[in-house]
Amino acid sequence: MITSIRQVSRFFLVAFAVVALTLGYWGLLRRDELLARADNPRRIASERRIQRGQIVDRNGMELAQTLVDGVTGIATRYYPYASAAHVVGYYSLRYGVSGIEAQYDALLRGDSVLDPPQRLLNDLLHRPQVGGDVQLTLDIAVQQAADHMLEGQRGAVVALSVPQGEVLAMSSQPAFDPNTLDDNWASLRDDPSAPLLNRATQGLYQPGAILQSVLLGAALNANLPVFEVGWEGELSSHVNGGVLPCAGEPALVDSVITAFLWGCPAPFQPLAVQIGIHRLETALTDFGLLEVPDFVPPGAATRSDGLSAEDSLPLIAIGQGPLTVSPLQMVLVAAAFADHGRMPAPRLVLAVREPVGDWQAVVPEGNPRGTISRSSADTVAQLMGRSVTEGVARAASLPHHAVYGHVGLALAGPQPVYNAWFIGFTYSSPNQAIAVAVLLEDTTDTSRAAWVGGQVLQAALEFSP
Amino acid sequence: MDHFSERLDPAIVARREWLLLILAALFVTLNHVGLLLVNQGQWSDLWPLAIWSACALSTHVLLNRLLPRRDPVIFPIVMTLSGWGLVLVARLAPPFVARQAIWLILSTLALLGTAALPPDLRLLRRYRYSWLLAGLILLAVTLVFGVNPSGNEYAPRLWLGFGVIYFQPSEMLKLLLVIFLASYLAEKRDLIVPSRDQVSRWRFPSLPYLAPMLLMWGFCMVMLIWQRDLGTASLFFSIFLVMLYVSTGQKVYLLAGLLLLGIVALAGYQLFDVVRLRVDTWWNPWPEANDRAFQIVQSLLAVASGGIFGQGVGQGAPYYVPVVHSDFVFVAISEEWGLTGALGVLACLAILISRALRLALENLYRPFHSLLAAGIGISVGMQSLLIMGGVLKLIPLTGVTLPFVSYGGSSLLTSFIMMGLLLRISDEDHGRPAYPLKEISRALDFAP
Repeated sequence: MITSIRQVSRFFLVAFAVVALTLGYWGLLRRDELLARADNPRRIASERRIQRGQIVDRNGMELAQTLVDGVTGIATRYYPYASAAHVVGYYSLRYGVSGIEAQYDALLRGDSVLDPPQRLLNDLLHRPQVGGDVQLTLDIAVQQAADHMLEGQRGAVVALSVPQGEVLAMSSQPAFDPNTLDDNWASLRDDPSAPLLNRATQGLYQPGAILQSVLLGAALNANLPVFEVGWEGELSSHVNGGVLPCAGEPALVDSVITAFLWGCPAPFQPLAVQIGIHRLETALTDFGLLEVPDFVPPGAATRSDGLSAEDSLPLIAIGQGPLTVSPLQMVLVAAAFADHGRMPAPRLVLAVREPVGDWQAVVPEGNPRGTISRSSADTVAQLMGRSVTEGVARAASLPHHAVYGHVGLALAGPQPVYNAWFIGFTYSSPNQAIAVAVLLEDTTDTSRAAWVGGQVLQAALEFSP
Repeated sequence: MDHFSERLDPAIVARREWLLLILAALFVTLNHVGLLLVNQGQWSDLWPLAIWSACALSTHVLLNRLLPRRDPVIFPIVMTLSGWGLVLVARLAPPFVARQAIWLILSTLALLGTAALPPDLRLLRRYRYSWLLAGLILLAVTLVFGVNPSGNEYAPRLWLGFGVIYFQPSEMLKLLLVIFLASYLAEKRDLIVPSRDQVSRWRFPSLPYLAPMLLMWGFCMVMLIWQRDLGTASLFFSIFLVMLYVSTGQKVYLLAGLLLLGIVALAGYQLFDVVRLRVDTWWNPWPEANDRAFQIVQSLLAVASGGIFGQGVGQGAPYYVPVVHSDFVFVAISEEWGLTGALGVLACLAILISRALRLALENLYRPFHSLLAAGIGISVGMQSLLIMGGVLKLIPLTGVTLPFVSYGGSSLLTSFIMMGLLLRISDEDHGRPAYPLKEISRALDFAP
């Protein structure tokens, strides 16, 4: 029996050693690979305990906050103002992140901020990861006003402070509620009206007659005698079988200048030929219409096929050529006329704050740029003022402030579908302006576009003087 | 100084056991308090610790009187593991702590009762057929009236219910089997071992061995078919085989037994879903990680999550593994105490087994005691290996408990009675070992 007990003893020794080695195999050798598995519930659990930082507006109002359950430690992302959803974005365990939530993900999660020893200590003590905060340039009051004006209408509004270039409001309709994204994802994704799309930055539209201010500026810059050019003939333009009419029922249009006041396209077609393809391309480049703005929200878009074919000039002249623009680009055009030809760099983030520390100002990514000469810009601005007082943009006028604006229609698509544009600005003080761009989809109601623009300017004057 | 002369001095035994118990108490207290702090609970939540301490202290004092020359290592290890188990139940299944604490008291009483048996253990030896019959009747009753505490209609019904207390007769049957085999083999082994001149040639196993082996095999089939209890069937058969080998030293029986096991396994794979499931998910669990193999994959994830030092008591997430508090308690240790803790459990169990096998060698002059000690060591060892290997995907998973640590009263009670028997056997002042110490030490590779 002594031998067999010895054998059994050996067997147990070997078997226990094998168990120990297996422990090491799974616990050390295969550890990282196992923990990285998508079905590891610990990953989701630790993700759900991350206390993401706040996103606040320029006045410190919370746009995104994290609610932590005291018992389970599970954090829930909560958006008090669903209306800022396109800018703030969403945070979803299932569907990822978007907007500022995506752009500042590392900071908001707290990934970028910890030094290794601190991270190790937090890991050891199972402290939840705490993220940093982001302050936006948005003013939630202006944002809500813009949303309210747009309600029920597909379209976008962007309001900008000039010369700072700070985006005060950026509204896109239809919108979505980021608080219920997980429940409504499928219907949001499949909705043909694309509520998840941020039309203000991602929407690409034919500019149509709203391009007239740029054309006029380019002509003035080239010293063309635009004030002397008269016009007799049809005011509407024909585009591939469709008709692009004036922005409103015109009173008397007998020149390029009156055509501008009433947003009539036809007189600008010969003007574009006079300006010439090279000077036109320079102007479009200077106004930043051939590039993505030095900006911010991921997914901002433009299409710059470039201008090359001489025969497309008459189409470019009425904004129905290859060029498409976003409302964000157009608000920058308005801002350039407000600031005497100087176009600000847009910015959406004022400051960031690490989990421990103070607010640090965020330097804008782009620089202000020159477009056309001061006098040319001021002349166009003056005409924009007349368009509001005596032209087709009257709906934008405000009781106590002079509003400068311009409206235009654009043909969208092969069917006779129109989009209505408005760009404009007003001064709150001699050196401080607010610019706005409005786009309404599938309507010819340019008055409504002008009215929305005026009301948003009014809100900005009230809340962010 | 000679190991046995030390053992003969009750003062040294008492002091050694006391010191080891202090270490065990430090460890268990540390973990209970750690869990309390993590849960931000009340100081009154420490009552299981108080019960554990009372059990440890009173048993130590009583053992000093009952068995003054016992092995001083066994009881502290038992209390370390069961105290750890109590922490784990408090951590993983808080509603069951009270039940487990009551079972700990009952088990401690049973250990003391066993330790108080007369040294010759005649009671066990003489009535072995009665014991076996009682065990089989218990099994038959379970087959008819068995329930599953979870209330699940399709879960194996391996328990007998008495109000709120559930008892798993197969645990007691395991103990009775070890006692019966020790007694039977101790008497019959001279009859069965082939005479010296026959050893060299292959020889058909003689009937006295063949009969119980076939009986055992049939018995395991009954367990498997009627109760779908793969764990108990595998455990019983392996205990039987190894004890047979220990008593005779005949490898041919071991091989024959493994052959039979292989046939059962093959047939089981063809016939029973539960066997197919366990084998399939063992061989390649990854494609079915969210389905049939969910438990084993989650088990491995828990081990991986633990790393070297673990997440800390109460701070991991072992609850993602289904029934982690009973069969999968080993991976909960791996997650929260890491490799360090899991190796600690391994070491504790290894020391217990080596103490049992050492006792088997020391008592060679009285075969029943020797085989009983060996059988207890084999039982604890095989059961630990089956479940640790199972949850680590080393072998197909068979649902048995980890001795002393898993939640479960019947298992705890049976293990404590086994340890009572070991302590009883270790306290012998009449008679010296039949073999010199040197030879014994050489025979045991991992004896301390």
